[in-house]
Amino acid sequence: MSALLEVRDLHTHFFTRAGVVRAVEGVSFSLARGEILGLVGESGSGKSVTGFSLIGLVDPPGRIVSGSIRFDGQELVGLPQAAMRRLRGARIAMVFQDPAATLNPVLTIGQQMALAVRAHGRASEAAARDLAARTLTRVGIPDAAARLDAYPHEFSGGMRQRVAIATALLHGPELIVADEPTTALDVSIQAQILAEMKKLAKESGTALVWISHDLATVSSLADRVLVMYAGRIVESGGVSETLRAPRHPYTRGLLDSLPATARPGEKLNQIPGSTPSLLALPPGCPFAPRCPRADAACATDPPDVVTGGRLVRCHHPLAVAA
Amino acid sequence: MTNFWRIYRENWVAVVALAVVVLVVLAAVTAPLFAPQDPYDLAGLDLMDARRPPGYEGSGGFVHWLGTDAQGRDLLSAILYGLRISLQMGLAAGAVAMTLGAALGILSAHLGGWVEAVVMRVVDLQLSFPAILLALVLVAMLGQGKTQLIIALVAAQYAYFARTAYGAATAERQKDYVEAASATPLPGWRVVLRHILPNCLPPLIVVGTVQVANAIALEATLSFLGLGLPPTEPSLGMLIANGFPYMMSGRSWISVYPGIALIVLIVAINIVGDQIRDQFNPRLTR
Amino acid sequence: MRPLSMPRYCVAMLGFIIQRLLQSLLVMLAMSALVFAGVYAIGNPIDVLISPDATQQIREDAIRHYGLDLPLWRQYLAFLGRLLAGDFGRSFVFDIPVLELVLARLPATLELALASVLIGAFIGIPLGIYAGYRPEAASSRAIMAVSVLGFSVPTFWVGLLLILTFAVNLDWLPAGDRGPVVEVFGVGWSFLTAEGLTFLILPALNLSLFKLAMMIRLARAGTREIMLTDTVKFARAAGLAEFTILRRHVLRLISIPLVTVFGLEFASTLAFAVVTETIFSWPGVGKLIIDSITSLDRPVMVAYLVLVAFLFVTINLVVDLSYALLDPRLRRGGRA
Repeated sequence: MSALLEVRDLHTHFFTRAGVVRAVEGVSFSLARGEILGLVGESGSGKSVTGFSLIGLVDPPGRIVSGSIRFDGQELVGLPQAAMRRLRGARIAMVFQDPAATLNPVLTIGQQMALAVRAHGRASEAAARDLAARTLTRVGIPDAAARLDAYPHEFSGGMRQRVAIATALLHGPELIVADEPTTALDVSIQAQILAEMKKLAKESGTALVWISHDLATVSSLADRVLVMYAGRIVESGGVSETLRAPRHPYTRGLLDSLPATARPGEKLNQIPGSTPSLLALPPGCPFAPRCPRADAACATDPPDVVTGGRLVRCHHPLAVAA
Repeated sequence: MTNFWRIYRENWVAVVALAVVVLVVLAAVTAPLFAPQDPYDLAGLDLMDARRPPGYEGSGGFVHWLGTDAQGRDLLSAILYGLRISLQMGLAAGAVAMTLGAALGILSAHLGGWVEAVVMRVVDLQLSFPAILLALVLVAMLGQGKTQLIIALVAAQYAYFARTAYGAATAERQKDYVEAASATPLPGWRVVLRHILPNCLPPLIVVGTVQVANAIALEATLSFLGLGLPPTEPSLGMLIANGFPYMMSGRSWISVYPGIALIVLIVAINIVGDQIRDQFNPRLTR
Repeated sequence: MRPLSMPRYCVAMLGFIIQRLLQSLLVMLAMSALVFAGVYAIGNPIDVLISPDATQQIREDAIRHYGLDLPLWRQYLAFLGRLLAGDFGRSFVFDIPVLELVLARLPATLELALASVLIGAFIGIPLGIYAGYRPEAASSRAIMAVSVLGFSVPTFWVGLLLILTFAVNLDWLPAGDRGPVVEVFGVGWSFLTAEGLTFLILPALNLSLFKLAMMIRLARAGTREIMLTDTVKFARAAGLAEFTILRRHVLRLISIPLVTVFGLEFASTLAFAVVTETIFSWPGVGKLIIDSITSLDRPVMVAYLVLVAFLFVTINLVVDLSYALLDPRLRRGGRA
């Protein structure tokens, strides 16, 4: 089966006054229809910028410098704005982190969704409202038709995010990029939304790029996981193998810092140090300064080690548990 | 300071504006030394020379490069002396308003309580009230003259300074080191002088620059309306007003040249003020 | 958070309105005290009440009649009483009741002020949004330069240039006066005839320059800020065209602060009308106040001040209320 999304050697840089920030540096991956991909990393790892690159919404002074993004056979890098706009919302949609910030506080839900409906073709007032109401019902908003005339502030945080998800679903997109969509929500609501998303994606065959810093969320949702560090992919593979037996020391470190893996009363194992500045990365493995396994070899670029559908970018990968 | 100038230099428009301000101030200060005529000396005026176009050689034996006004005054000299008065009024009003406003603002922030409530309420109310109307009413009540005019200008402008100083001082008050300093047995006014005042200065300077330009504009407006200085000391506004009736008959220079001088000065000060504001505003430095 | 039921919503709204009305009343009271203090403390109050060339007998009668021999607080109450009754005395110059005089001049000023605020909004807001949308473009820089000029260049000077250019040199438009008016509801309006409009254009343009600059600046600042928010990103992600985003999302979001300023500016326009009306001989209250200052027609001055204060407070009230209508978050009376 041919891939829905094919990203090859993507470079997205930000040209700031202080210098060039190489936010995404040589990212490659592919995504099949209906597949759910978890994109994991700390803040500043380039995972969100990768997501925005996919729908062509990298804010200046950032831009895609090189690489290729093929969506259903069509090259998106260098696509004219107008053509990109026709794709956005129709075939590729996006859900953001904070629903309180994404929805316009002074327009009703119905007005905002109608704008999204009409962004891709004419629709009568009634038809737009009808589609909006049906989609809201799909994401689990009760009494949707009546709620169309409500303003965002009249909804709870979780409900607002459902509205945002419904807006993304309006035109039945083939790909949804979700940038930390549950981070701003309560834990119980998070679980509901996760389950809902998984169900919706499976039902409609929508592929999902789920960007998160939270490994636990990704493990319960994704089919495959990509771990990013300093703008690069350091490890990728099926979600259960990768998270059960990570091969990159960074992935290991992320897992060890999860509260769930620590015994009660035990101190969490935070990775020492902090994410490096992307302005002036030294050559070699960017994780080396924080890595327990680093040695002299790590001063050179690590190789991509591919074994059985898993990739790890490391001089000293951890052994695969038997 | 050298750093400040290095960034300032990058904006050539602001550099030109600064040069213009310096030149105008110099010209105004030294006007008596090189102005062709003393425009206040009524005996030196000849009505035969009235309303002559630029370039006319008058009975005084010199060329009126910018023409003459309705009383036969050399317009160039009148403008130079007018600039002196405009600058005097603007700077005096600006300085008094800044001192008064800063004192009120900082004191309200420092004392708090009912002083803060009353002073800032009045200031806010006044800020929402058009300054020109206030100045107009005061001039109407107090009569004409330099002191009266300055009082009117100060009353119309001090509120801006008070608001600015108050804002900066309250922001400063919340910072740890002021709290720490207040906990030590330093008397309150020393905290104000040492810590709060220096931090209020940058925004006050920015507001001050623009307010001097506004004071000059306001003075010109009042004088244009015939409510500013007495006719014996014609400021730029009055020169413009005097030329207004002759505009219809094509003798527009009498109004236009003083007007150009006024605009160049005001716009130049504003550009300098904008540049200083941009440099003081940390949000804009990327 | 459940929306309030209709009756509770109405109660909240009513409370908000009553609170604002009380505030306005308080400000009006303070203003009247200031005008009272201004006129009564600085000048001799009798000068405000009767003509300076009245005989000694009339003066003394008037002092007793108006109670100027009473204590100050009783005088103030009496002053308030006369204000409430709309009794501002008679104009020395025109010898008609001041209220009548001012009210007769008011429509001209209102028309001028309204025209200029509309010009400022309809030209300034689109320009400002554009400048905020493309802050780096050369055209945006030009727009900003115009707004800097509009802020700093005195109104009267722009008025002179307009007259010099369009009335004297080009001879396209009249240099001043109001021209013909059409009577509607007993009030004359200029904008109803083409010829009347030609008289309105220059003064309205002149008066609008400051608002134009202000609207440009506010719309630009608001747009710049909003363009960076996730609301815009989300709208883009939904595939909305840029123009739709500006027209539907950005305009609605910046309109809340703009309406406030719009209202307040309308009040200050009445003040700046003083200058414009003088230059263009526009027969409104602004010209009236200048004339009455130069001719020491004090009752007119008092009436004008009280009237401007009243308009000012009323406009503030209306702005507050429309604010509540525009921002659904405020409508529930929660953060009022």
